Amino acid sequence: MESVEKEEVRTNPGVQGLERREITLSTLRQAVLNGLDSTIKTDQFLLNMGPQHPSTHGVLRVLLDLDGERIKKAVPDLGYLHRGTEKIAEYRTYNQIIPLTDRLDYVSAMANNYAFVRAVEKLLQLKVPERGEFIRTIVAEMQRIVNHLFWLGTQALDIGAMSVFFYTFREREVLLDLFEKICGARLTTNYYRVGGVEGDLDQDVIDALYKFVDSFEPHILEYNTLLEHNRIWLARTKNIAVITGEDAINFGLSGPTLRGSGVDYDLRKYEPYGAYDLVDWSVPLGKNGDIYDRYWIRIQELRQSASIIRQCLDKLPSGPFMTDDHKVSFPPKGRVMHNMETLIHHFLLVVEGFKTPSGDTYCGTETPKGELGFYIVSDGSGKPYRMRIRAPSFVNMGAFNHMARGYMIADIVTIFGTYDIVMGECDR
Amino acid sequence: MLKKFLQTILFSELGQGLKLTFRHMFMKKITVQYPKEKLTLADGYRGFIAHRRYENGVERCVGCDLCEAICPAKAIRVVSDIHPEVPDRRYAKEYTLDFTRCIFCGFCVVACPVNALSMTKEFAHSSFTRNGLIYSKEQMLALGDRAGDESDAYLKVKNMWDAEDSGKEEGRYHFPPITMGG
Ligand code: SF4
Ligand code: SF4
Repeated sequence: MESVEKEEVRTNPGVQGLERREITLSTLRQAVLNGLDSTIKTDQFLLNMGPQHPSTHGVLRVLLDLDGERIKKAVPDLGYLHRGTEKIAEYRTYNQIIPLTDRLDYVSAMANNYAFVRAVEKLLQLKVPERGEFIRTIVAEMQRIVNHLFWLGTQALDIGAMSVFFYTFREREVLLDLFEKICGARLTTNYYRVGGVEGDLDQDVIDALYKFVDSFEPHILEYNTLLEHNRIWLARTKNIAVITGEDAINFGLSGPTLRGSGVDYDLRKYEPYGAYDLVDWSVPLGKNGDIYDRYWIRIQELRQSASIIRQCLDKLPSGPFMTDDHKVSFPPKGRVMHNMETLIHHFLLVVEGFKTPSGDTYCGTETPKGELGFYIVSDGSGKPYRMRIRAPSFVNMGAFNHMARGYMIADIVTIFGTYDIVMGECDR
Repeated sequence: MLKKFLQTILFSELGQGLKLTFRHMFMKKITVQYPKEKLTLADGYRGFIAHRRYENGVERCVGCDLCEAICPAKAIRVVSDIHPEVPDRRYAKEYTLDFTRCIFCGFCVVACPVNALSMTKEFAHSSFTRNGLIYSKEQMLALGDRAGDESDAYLKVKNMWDAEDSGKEEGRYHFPPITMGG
């Protein structure tokens, strides 16, 4: 955390009652602006930010109540990208829902797949083979890196640093190419299955992954050279959108947005799933709860993810990657083509889906954006009776007014960015 | 303190950043000039869907409707009927796949019990009309003929090849031998 202290400090003899105190550049600016506010009288001014603004990362409209350039109130207006995923899911078998979850948070489709199949597995009390669990963990962490790189690039782009965007997308490309090898698509992956994964990790993918994680640290240093001490970056991120740990918990935040305020909550650590309890890693925590801390956390998570991938690859056991319980998974094609009983079973599995016991379950998974939870009510048929998605972007949006109030209108762009918001997931 | 001061007035952190970006000008370019250069796609790439034939040229589809049933986007429509020439065999009288709806999930290939479908590496989804993307069975068979080994490679990567028996028709459920067609 030492980098946070490194911001330049100035001694200032006395601006607006701040006596001989070490103050940072942004608090100085804040103090000057506070002084201005009391002298200049302004009318109420309502401004629509979005829904078609490049910095809103989708179609998000925020109604800003302004006092000069100060935000008095910010009311997010959600729902522009509502596609009724929850309702569609009631008419789809569990297998058919997996590709629908790709489209929730389209930046990290693998993580959504994982969250959904985990909920169904919890409902079925199904055990996944060990190799399957390891592959899932590896791929989920790859997705976390992809997501954080995307976030870092766009956040820097919003603030005006163009090069970071190119460099992060260069590394992201490597991982997306691997996704293409693993599952056949780069973004809409549809890779996880109830009871395992769709395909195995080939040796060339494993080699490429080793190569990637070995060469990743210099790239992180590259991004940091451009950002970590850059005075523009510091002025735009330090002490902006501050939220205390207590408030963050009360608003139900999760993911890096919560951990930036120093709350030690990561589902991978505290309800371990996959292979997370078999490898050695730590949860990075922030201190000030501002945009800079959340940036710092995501950078650390890149390092942690790379380390998790390497350890999982070292320990990758052999064996099946998909459960052999063919009540749930599709039987092998060879048997379907030559064995009449299997064929009939295959027909039923396709048409009706597998049956789940009736009841309901909630299962939360730590996706790159926070806790993505699926609440499934089952009536015993092959389709969910009701499926509710707890989308981290949506819940995090609840704290928007709290976090944006009092800052300048130019800061709103960085505040959007710090949530790592994706409207596909937010509006579902 | 002095170091800090010097760093601040000399813009040293900005200088370092500029040095880094400047260095990148002399590094190997990684951009691919798309229409001229093309990336090689992975064998498991999920592009346009093609119909496959047996080695003797007879189309595989038996019109069983499974692909229609599993399609999460409801992109497929199958109207099956009794084969006009072989009375105890069924075939798809009409088969349309609406690529404007298809989400390229690959489930139809998994569902098909006779490996009649496969995905190809064709990815340029564009057409001047909406109808241009609604493919009939004939168009999909033509796609399959064009794709050739690609469609086999897809099935191999996705672990669906074990039943193939080198693509011959025998060894299945002993459908009556088919002599028509190719
Ligand atoms: S790939 Fe998926 S969406 Fe497209 S036709 Fe096949 S099952 Fe339907
Ligand atoms: S393509 Fe396959 S699944 Fe679809 S109708 Fe024909 S045989 Fe059945």
